This record gives sequence, structure tokens and C-alpha cells, in this order.
Amino acid sequence: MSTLSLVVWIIAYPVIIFCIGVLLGGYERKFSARVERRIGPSWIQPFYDVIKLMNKKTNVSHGYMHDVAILMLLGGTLLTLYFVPVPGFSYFSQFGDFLVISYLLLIPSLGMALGVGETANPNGSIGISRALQMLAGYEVPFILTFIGVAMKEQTTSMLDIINIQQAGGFMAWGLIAHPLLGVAALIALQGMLNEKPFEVIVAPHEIATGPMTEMGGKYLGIMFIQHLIALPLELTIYINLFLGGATNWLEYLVKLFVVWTALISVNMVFGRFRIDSWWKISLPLAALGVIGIMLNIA
Amino acid sequence: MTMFLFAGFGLTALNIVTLNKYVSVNEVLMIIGAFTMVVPTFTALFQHDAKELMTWHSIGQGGYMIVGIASSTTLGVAGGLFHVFNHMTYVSLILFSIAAVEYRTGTTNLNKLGGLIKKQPVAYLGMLFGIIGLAGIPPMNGFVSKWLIYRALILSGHPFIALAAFFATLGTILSVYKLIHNMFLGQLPERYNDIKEVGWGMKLPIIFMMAVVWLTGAFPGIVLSVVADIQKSLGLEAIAYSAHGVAAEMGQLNMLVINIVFMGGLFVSWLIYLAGGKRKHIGQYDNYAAGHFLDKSVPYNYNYNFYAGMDHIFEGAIHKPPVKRAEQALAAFVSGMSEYVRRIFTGNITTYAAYVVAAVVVILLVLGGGR
Repeated sequence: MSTLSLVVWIIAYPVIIFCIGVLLGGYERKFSARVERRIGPSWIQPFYDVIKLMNKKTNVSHGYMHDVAILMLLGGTLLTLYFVPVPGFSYFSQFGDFLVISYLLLIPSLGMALGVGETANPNGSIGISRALQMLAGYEVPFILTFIGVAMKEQTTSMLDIINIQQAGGFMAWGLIAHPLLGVAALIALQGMLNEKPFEVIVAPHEIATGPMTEMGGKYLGIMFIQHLIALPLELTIYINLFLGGATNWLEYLVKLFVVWTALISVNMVFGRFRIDSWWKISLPLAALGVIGIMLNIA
Repeated sequence: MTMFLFAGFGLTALNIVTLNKYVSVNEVLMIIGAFTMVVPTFTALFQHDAKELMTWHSIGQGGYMIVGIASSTTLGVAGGLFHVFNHMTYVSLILFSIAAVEYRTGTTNLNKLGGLIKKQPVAYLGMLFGIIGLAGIPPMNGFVSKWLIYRALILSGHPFIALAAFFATLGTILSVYKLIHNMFLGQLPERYNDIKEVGWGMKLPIIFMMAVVWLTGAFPGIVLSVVADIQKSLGLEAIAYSAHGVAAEMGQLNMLVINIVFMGGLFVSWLIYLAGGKRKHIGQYDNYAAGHFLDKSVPYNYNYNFYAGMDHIFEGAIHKPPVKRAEQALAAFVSGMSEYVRRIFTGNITTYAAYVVAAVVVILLVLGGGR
């Protein structure tokens, strides 16, 4: 990869992912509206939301950590983004493997947790307490599925796992070669993206939207931007591990929309689960992962 | 006990000693290590005292060292040895911060503190760097050693030990967030309104250790060179390191690139942040309270029993009779063992002086014999 194309990719990559995130977010709004027999907002409504929030005149914060936290939130997400390979751009994969990615994903959570802590609102603190308990819940099955795949292929590099799947064709895709791991990871992904039934963190009617209680104006705007980047990012991680990555951008977009449709369809029909109910799902999921690994080793 | 075994037999000897065809000493040590990681870490989650919480973590992190060294792979041993150094740096940093808070407030009770970030920002920053290191999140040094251990465990085919390591890391993140939240974040109690930052005598060690934790994270080669020397002296294959990570043939890790990209990400976020309107700082009583008015007389904070959901899940299991019986049996075993240890550590200063003299004599004999 020449220096010029590298620089172009580095600048364009977050912008492209943000645009895809806007489309995915708008699709979710449209989809849920159609299920509820409404017309729904425009396809790029999330973009209008971001513009509106960034233009607010009142921006209140509770201190310097509150300001820095919002930078850690978006900065950590951008950092993670570069280490996840997409078709045509995998330069940074040589500097960090999947283990690095899974830990970089924690930086935004930690930044947000610290900022919300400083707002001194118990609703926010309860939201963060729940968010961290959820994190422990979905990371366990997700990491287990990765350990299973990595042990089978004897590599922890995401790029290598994609290449092995693409070399083997359709039957080598993670979801088909080790279906138990694939399904467990898909359900963990539902928790990772805060979709119902695992939406106890925000819980608008109960704890006033939890972490977002004291966030407004450009702070909420940057949280929206982060969400719109993290959405395709986390779906991409799943596609890379279990759906054979993608060789071109068309295939990539199709896979993104297929996985996202599956997740938001589940989102539409479920209510909200409690934290302990989530653990009752998460632990059997982890057991599913264990059985998957056993089958892989045998 | 593990350390005694290592001292007695040495690493290479451990590889040869096998209990039978299926179970090796290494496996047994790794299982002990896995329990040492998980159980103390989740015990730490429910502590109400900052220093007790950190004590449990010191035990838990020992598990990573045992597991890393017992994996007896190049990466694992390097990770275990590196983790010894890292643990020393970030735990002392966290304890410096706790000391700074205790010096001013006179308490380390996590249920009574809160909101001290406004009063002791340097202690807060020290705690922040320390917990990022302890939890093993990039870009601090704790991540590098944990990365080495995870990779060694996955590639040498120990999925469940690796899972225990990840699970303990998640427990660590939960409990260190509780630590920093209950001390520095949330609502500042009225009685701490006049607290001041500690003096330079206490600030300087914090700032120095922050630099150590960050720099050995960005340039792990500084410490890995020593680790490689130790591995060579033990007769093992030394880890292939570079100044800022692990060399390509041992895996992909470059902490300097991670640091630079993170700075870039923060810079872009800052530009977006500046694009928004001007911000205004407000006080802690200017807060959403569903229509109520907040003032000094209203405690509006959430820190007691921070992980109530988890408590609810584990509480039932902990009080079941088999668990209770196992705990009592273990306690009896440990107190029995301690009787023997107490004969060595008598608490009598003359005994210790005799040990020192004996050690000097032994060292002199060994050195003299070498010539």
C-alpha cells in the first residue's frame, strides 16, 4: 500500500464508517416504524439529530473529567476502528491482533463511565453499574467464542482468520464451521449493541436514560456520533470472525445489513430483561461456547 | 507454595516432573493460578474499604504471574515476569493515591467518600492511570503483560485457563471502577468541602509513578530486555521484543502505534468538541432530580452496594451449605498450615537477625566456593 493511498484511507475511513452508521441507524428507525405501522423519519435522521445537537447553545458540564470523558469515548472508538480490517484497508492489523481490539473496545466504556461518574447523578451511576455488569456478561461468551476460533486456527490475528475463511470458501465461514460459537457470539452482540432485551442500561422509564441523564448539547451529540461509528464497527468484528469478512464493499454492506436486520428484528419483539435474567442467559451461552470449543478441539 | 516449588525444582525441572501421563505439575499449577485469579478478584468486588479491595487484587494478580510462568512457553513466562514488574508499579501508584486521600480525609471507607476529584485532582489522575494499568487496558503497561499471557494460553491450548484470565480481568474492571467512583466521583459530601490537595512530597511520587506506568506501556522494550535476560539465564528461549512491543515473529503488538493512533483519535474528537457551542461548568446541586430541588441537606448519591445485581446473583450461591463447608475446611487447612509458617516468622526480632546472619554466611560461602 503506497503512502498516498494510506493517508487517504486514514482520513476517509472514519468518515465512510460514520456514513454507514447513519444509514444503519436510519434503517433501524424506519424498520421499527414500519413494524408499528408508522411512516417513520427519513433515512438519514441520525445525521440531522447529530447536527441539531452539535448546534445547541446550552452546553453544561460538571467538570473537566466530564469534558475529557467525551473525548475518550470518541477517541477510543476511532482508535479501535483502525485496528479492525475492512475490504481494502488492513494496514493497522500488523500492529494489533484481536486481543488488542477486544481491549481497545473497553476504552470508550471506561471513558464514559468516568465522565458519567463526575456528573454526580445517581441515575447515571446506576446506569454505569448496570453497564459494567452487562459488560462482564457479554464479554465472557464473546471472548470464549473467539478463544475457540483462535485455538482451532492457531492464530490470534483477525486478518489471518479472515484469510483462512476466504481461502476455504463458504463452508469455512465461522458460522458454518463452528455454529455453536457463531450463535453464542450473535446473542452476545445483541448485548454489546444495547439492543432489547438487553437494554437495561438506558431504561428510560426507570432511571431517566441512565448514563445519558446529565448529557446534553454537544456532549450528547458526540455520544450519538460515537454510537453511529461503534455500530458498524461491532458488526464488522462479527462479520470478520464468523461470516468470512468481505472481499469487496458491496459484499460488506450486504452482510452488515443482513446481520443488523437480524438483531433489530429481535429488538422489536422483546421487552427489557433484568440484569440477573441477562446472567441467566449469558452463563448458558458461555457453556454453549465451551461445548463448541470441545467439539473444535476433538 | 508455587514459588517454593519454582525455587526448589526450577522451570525446566518442572517440565520433566509429571505426576502421570495425563496430569503434569504445570497443569496443576495453572489450575491453582486460575482459582487465584478469579476468587480474590470477585471477593474484591464486595469490599467496603479501599485498602482491603486492593489487597484482594494483589492476591488476584499473583494468579496471572503463576499462570504465565506455569504455561512454560516463551510468551507466557515473559508475560508472567513482566507482570511482576507492572504489578509493582501500578499497585504502588494506586496505594499512593489512596494514601493521599486518607491523609486528608482520615478514612478509606468507600461508603463515606465521594466527589474528591474536585479537591484532589492529582490523586485522581494517579488513581486513573493506576486502574487502567491494573485492569489491563491499553495504553498502560498492565495490558502488555496480560496480552502476552492471553496469547500464550490460547496458542498453547488452554482455553479454560484463558477464559478464567479474561473473566478475572472483567471482575477487575468492575471493582476498580467501584474504587475510583466511590472515592473520587459522585457527590462530594458537605464535610469534605474544605479538603485541599496534598503537598508536593506526596504529589511527586504519584506523578513519577504515573510516568513509569505510561512509559513502560508505550515502550515495553525497556522492561522486556530485562525479562529476556532472565529467560536466558533460566535456560529458556528468550522473547523476541522490539522497543515498543513484541517482534513480528511472536505476534502483532506495537504499543507505540496504539498510543499515537489514540492521540490522533483524541485530537479529532477534540476538534469535533470545539465545533460545538461554548460549554459552561455547573455545580453538583445543579442536577436532574425528577423535579425535586437539590441542596446541601439532600444526599443524592449512589455508592453503597454498587453492584447490587451481581450481589443478588452470587449471594444465594455463597450461602449454600456445600460452599460454606468447603470454605470452613479451607480456612481450617490454612490456619493449620500457618502454625508451621509461624515457627519461621516468629515476630521476634532476634530470630530475624539470626536469619540475616545465616543468609550472609551462605552467600559468602557460595561466592567463595565459586572462586
